[in-house]
Amino acid sequence: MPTLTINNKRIEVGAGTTILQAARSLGIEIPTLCQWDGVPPMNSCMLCVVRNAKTGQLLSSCSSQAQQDMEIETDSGDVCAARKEVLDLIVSEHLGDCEAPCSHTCPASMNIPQMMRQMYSGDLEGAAYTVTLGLVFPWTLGYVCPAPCQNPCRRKSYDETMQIRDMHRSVAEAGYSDAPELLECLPDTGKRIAVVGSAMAGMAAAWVLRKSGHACTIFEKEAKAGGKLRSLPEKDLPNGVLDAEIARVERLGVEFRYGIEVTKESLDEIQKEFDAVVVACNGVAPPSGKVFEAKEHKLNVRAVGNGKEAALLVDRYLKSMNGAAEKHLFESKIGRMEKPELEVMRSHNENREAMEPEPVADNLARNQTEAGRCLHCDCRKRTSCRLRKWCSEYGVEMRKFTAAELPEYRIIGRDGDVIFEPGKCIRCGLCVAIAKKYGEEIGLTFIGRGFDMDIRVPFDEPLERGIRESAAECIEACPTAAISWRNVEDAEHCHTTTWIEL
Amino acid sequence: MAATTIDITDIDRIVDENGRAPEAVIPILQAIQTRYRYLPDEALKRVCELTEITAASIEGVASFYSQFRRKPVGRHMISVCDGTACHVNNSEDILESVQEVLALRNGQDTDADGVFTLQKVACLGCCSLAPAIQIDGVTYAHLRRDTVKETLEDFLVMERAKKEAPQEVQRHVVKSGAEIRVGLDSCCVAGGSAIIREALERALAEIGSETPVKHVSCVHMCHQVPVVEVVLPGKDPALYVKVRPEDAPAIVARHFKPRSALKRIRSSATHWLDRFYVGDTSETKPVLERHDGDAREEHVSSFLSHQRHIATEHRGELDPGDLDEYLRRGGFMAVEKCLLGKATGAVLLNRHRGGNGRGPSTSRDAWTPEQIIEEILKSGLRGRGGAGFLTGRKWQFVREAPGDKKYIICNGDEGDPGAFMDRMILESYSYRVIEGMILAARAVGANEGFLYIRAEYPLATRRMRQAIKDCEAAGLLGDSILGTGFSLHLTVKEGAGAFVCGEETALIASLEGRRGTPSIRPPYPAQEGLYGCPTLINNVETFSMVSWIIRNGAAAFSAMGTEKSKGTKVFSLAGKIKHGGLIEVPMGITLREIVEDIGGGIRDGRQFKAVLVGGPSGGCIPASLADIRVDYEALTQAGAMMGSGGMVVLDDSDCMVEMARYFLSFTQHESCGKCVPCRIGTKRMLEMLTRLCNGTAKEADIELLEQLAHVVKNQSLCGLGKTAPNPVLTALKYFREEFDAHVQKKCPAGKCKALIDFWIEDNCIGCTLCAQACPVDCIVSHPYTLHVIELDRCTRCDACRIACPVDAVKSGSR
Repeated sequence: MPTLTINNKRIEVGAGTTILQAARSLGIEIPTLCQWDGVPPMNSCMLCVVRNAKTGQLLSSCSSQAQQDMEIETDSGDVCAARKEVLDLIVSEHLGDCEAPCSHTCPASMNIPQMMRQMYSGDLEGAAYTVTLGLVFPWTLGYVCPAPCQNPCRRKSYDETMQIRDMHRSVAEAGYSDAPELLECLPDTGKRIAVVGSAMAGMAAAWVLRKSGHACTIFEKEAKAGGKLRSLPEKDLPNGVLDAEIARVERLGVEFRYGIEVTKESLDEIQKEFDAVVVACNGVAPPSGKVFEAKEHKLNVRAVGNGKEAALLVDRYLKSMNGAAEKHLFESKIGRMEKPELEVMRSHNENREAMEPEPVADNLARNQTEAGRCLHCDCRKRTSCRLRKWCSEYGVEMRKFTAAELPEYRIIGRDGDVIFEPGKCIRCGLCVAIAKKYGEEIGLTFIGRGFDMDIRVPFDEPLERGIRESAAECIEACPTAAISWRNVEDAEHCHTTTWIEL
Repeated sequence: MAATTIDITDIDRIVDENGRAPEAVIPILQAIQTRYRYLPDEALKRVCELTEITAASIEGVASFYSQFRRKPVGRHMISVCDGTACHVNNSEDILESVQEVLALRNGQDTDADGVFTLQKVACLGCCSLAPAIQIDGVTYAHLRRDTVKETLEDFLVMERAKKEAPQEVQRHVVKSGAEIRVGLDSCCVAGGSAIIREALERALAEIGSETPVKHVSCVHMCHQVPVVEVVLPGKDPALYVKVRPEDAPAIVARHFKPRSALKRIRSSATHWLDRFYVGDTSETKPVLERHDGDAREEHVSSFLSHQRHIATEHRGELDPGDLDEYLRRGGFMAVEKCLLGKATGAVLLNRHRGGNGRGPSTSRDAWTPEQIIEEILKSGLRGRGGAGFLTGRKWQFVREAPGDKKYIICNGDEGDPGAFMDRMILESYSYRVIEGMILAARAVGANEGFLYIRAEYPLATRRMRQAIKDCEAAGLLGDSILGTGFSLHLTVKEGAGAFVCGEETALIASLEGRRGTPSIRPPYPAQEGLYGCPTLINNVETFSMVSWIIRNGAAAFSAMGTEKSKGTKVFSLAGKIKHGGLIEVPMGITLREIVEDIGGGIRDGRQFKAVLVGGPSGGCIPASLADIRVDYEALTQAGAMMGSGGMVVLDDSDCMVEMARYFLSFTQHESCGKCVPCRIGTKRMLEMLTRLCNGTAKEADIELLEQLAHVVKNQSLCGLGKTAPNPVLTALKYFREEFDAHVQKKCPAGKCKALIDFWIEDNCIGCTLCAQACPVDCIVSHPYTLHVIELDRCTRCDACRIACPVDAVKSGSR
C-alpha cells in the first residue's frame, strides 16, 4: 500500500492505483483527453503529465502507478508548460471550426447555425429563443443590421450566402419572440443595477442582467428608449418594430426612468443607491470600481454585443468572481476552404431533402426551406469538446506551430447517424479500444503509422458497420468532435457532458 | 497494374502452417506477401474468417510495418539505401536518377511497364559500399548519377542470362591444410563474394585442385570487400582485397600448381594479376561496382591493431555455419563451465563419438544462477543496445521476479541507418549469440526464448535458424541441455520493418502480433513482459559478450575500458573516412584514434568536421571534441549517446543542418504515432528543418525549433521520441552558426540545393560535356566558348560538375 503526496497532501492508495486515480480521490483535477474509464490507458495525449518532485521526471498520470514516497505536483509551472506544449502541438494539426464563421463574425455572437437547424426542423419557438437570446432585438436588427455574418458564410464561397438577417427577422416578425418562456429570469439575487442610456448597448446589458436575476433600472434623458434608431425613416425601420421589442424588455421586468440626465455628479448618487452601474452613453464617467461601460456603437449589433459583454462582467463582479482571471475561450478555425472541401461539407450537411427554393408567398416558410442549405460549419461538440476546454484553460493560441500543410477536410460516414471528421481526430485510439471492448465484428483500427496514422473502419466498410453497438460510447469518449452524431440535437440523448455555458 | 487473383487454398495452407492464434498475424502476412508480393484484400479477409485474428488487427498490423505492401508491385524491386553513410554519399541523387531513368512522376513507384518498383529503404546495412542500391537481393555499390542507367540494364542482362544458363559449380571438397577463405556475410556478398566464390571454385576445378573454398565470418574490412585470403600450411596467409571474379584464376594460379601437364600449359597463359594483392597500389579509374585497390599492409595493420575482439572473436577465421569449428575454438566452453561445472570439451568429444550430447553428467560443481549473475555483474557489462543498463542487474531483476514462466528475448531489430554490427554478429557468430542466451536463460530461469531479427536481414535469419537446429541436434538446446535437466527452446521471429520495435515494449507488442507501439514502463519487461511474464531482453551484442566473460573471467573483461564502461564495443564505422567497416574497440579509446588510426583519416584530402555517434538517437560530436573517450557517460554528456553503435564521420562538405534534417526525417518516419509529442512534435521539427534547408525559415524558427526539441525529448513516451531530438540539439549546440547562416539563405557547406548556385568559371574549355550531362538542358553551350548555366531551370543535380573535365563548374552559396 504505497503512500505518497500529491500537491503536498498525503494519501495512501492500493497497489496498482494510478497517480490520476489517486489525485481524483483527493479531489484534484488533472486534465486528460485520451483517458476513459473502462478501457486501458492510451498514453497518447500526454496531457495528464505530473511531476515527481523527487526525480524531476514528468510522468503521465493516467498510466503511471503511484509508488511509495512519490512527491507529485499536478499544477507546478513546468507541468502546466508541458501541458500547454502538447495542446499547442495538437491544435497545430486540428482541422475544424469551433464556431461557424457566421457566429464567429456576429458581434453579438448569435448561434446562427442552431437557428438554421431549428427553423428547418420546424422548431420555430426554439429558433425564436436562439435569435432573441443572441441578438436581444432580432426583429429590429433584422432591418438595420448590415449583416456582417453573411460575408464569411461558407455557403457563399460555394454558391450563395445564407440569408441570415432575413431569417431572424422573419422568426421575430411572426411573433415567436413574444413567447412567455423567453421572459423567464433566474431567481432574484437582490442586487440592483443602474443602466445609464437606453440605446442598443444599454438595453442589451439590462436584458441580460435582468435574466440573470438582478433588478435593473435604465436611466434615459429622452422621453423614449432606443437612441438614434428612433430617427430612422419608416422605410429603413418600420414604425412599431423597435417599440415592440422595447416592450419585451419592459415585460421582462426592466424599469425605465425617462427624462433623467445622468451627470458625473448624479452618478455618485446612483452609485450609492445601486450595487453596480453600467454606463451606456458617452462622456459620463470612465469605468472604475462598480461602474462598468457598455459602449454604444454605430453598428447596432456591435452595440448589442458590447451590452451583453458588460452584463457578463457585472454579473461576475456581483458574484465576487472578478478576482478570478478571465479565461479566453479557445477557438479553432479552419480558415479558407477550397471548393472540393466545401462540396464535402455540402454533401454531408445540406439537408438532402431540401427542395429548390421555390418562390413561396409566405416569407417565413420560404426562409425555413432556405435554412436547409446551411452547411453546419459549427462544431458538433462546441460545448463539450475536451480539447477546447483544456485549450481555453491553458490559454492556447491557434497555430503556435505552423503546419507546412494541412490535410483536406473530409467527412466519413455517408448514410448513418454518426459521422467521423478525421481532421479533428487526435489519434488517441479511444474509439478503437471501445469498439474492441464491445466485441464489434468489424470495429475500428489504426491505419498506418506515425504522423500519417488514421483511424478507419477495416476494409473500408461503412462507419456504422464498424461501431454498431459502441457508437454512443465512442462519441461520448471522443475528446473532440472527431466522432459525433450527425444531428447535434441527438447529442441530448447521449449525455454528452457540457462543460461550458455559452 | 491489375490486382492478382488469389487462390483461396493458398491462404488456407498458409494459415495451417502458421497457426490461428492472434500472434500468428505477422508470420501469416509475411507468407502471403512472399506468395503474392503484396497483400491482397481478399487474402486478408480470408485470414480473418479462418483465424482468431480480427479485421481490425490484421488491417492495423499490415499498415503498421513498412515491409507490408497493399498494392501490387513491379517484377523487380529496387531498394535505394538512404542509410547515413549512403546519405552523406549523395543517395538522394541516386534516388532522383532512378526516378528519371524509370520516368516515375508524382510519387509513382512503379514504371509504366511494371518492370521495376522503386522504394527508399532506411539502411541496407552495407555502409562501406555507399551509395548502394539493391535490386531483388543483388547489391550494386558505389553508384553515381551517371551509372544508374547502366546498372539497371546490367541487372536485366544478368536476369536474362540467369534464366538461360542456370549453373551450379559442383566440387568435391577435401579437408586439408590449405584453404581459401571468402567472407560471406552480407557486406561481402553485396561486394560480390558469392560470385567470387563460384569463380574460385571453378578455377580450382580447372587445375584439378581440391582445396576447399571456405565461408568465413565477417573480416570487418568492409571498405575492401570482397576479400579473399589464401591459407597454405607453413606459409603466411595471403590477403587479396577488392577481388573481381576474373581475378580468380590468377589468384588460384599463383598459389596452386595445376595437376596435369595440359592444365599447366593453359594456366601459364593466364594473366598474372597482382594488382589487388595487398602491397600493390596501382591506381585505376573507378569502374562500376568497385573502385581501385589501394590496400597496403600498413593501413590493414593499423585498421586491426587498435581493436580487441570479444564479440567478434576469431574474426575472419570461423566458418559461421560450422558448429564443430566453433567448438574446437572454445565454443560452448562457457556453457559447459556453468552447467557442468568444468569445461572439458565434452560436447565436442561426444559429437566425435557420435553421441547427441545428452549423456549423464554430474552437476555438483555446476554454477548456480546467482553465480552466473554475480560474474556478469562483476564484469561491469552494460547493455549494448544503447541505454547501457547494467546487464547483471537486469538479469537479477528477471531472476527475482515472481512467476514460473519466464522468457528470454534477443533483440536483433537493429534499425539505425548506418549500423550493421548486430547483423554481422548474427550472420558470423550465431553460435556465440546462442551460447550467451543459454547462459542468460539459465541465470534468469527462462525456458523459452525468441530472437527477434529485423526483416531486412534474411541471411542473419537463415543462419540463426540453422544454428539453432545445429545446437538442438548437439544437445545444446532443447530439453535437458547436456543432460542437466535445464531446457531452453529458441525460436527466430522476423520483424516486419519498424524501427520502433527495437524499443523493448514495442518489440514485445510485435511478438504478440500487435502493432509495435511501446507502452509505459514500469512495469518493466523484467516484471511483466511477453504475455505478461517476466522477460529478459538483451541486445545481440550483449549476448555475444557473455561467453567470453564466463570463459576468461569478469576481471579480464573489466580490465578493459573506463571506470563505468567496461570491455569492448562494436561500431560500424562509415562516412568520409578512408577505411570503413566493422570495428571492435576497447571502451575508452578516443574518437580521434578511431577516425584517424583505424579509419585512416578523412578521404579526398578534406577536413574532419564531426562524428555522428549513435545514429538517429545519438548526436554529432565536433572534431574539436574528438579526444572524447568512448564511454556511455562521456558520450551522453556530450549530447550524443552510445546508441547501438553507428559511427558516421563527416567532413567539411557536410551540412550539419541538413544532417539534422536527415536524421529527424528518419525518426519522424519511424515514429509509431502513439504519443502526441513524438507524432506531431517530430513532424513540426522536421518542417522547421526543411524550411531552414530550403531557405524559407525565419530567425524565430531556430528558437522555436530548440524549444520544441526539448518538448519532444522530455515528454515523449518512449526512447525513440526521447532521443530523436539529439542530433538536432547537438547540431544546434556545436554548429549554431550554420543554422543562422541558413536563415540568411546560405549553406556554408554548399550542400543544401535551394541555397546554392552552380556557375562556370573562366577556365572552361568549351567542351560541352556539361551540357550533355545536364538532364534539364539548362546549360547554354557553344563549342569552344565559355558555357553558361541558366539557374532558373537548374535542378542543382551536380551532373555538370561531375562531368566537367577541368573543374570549371563550381557550386556553393554565393
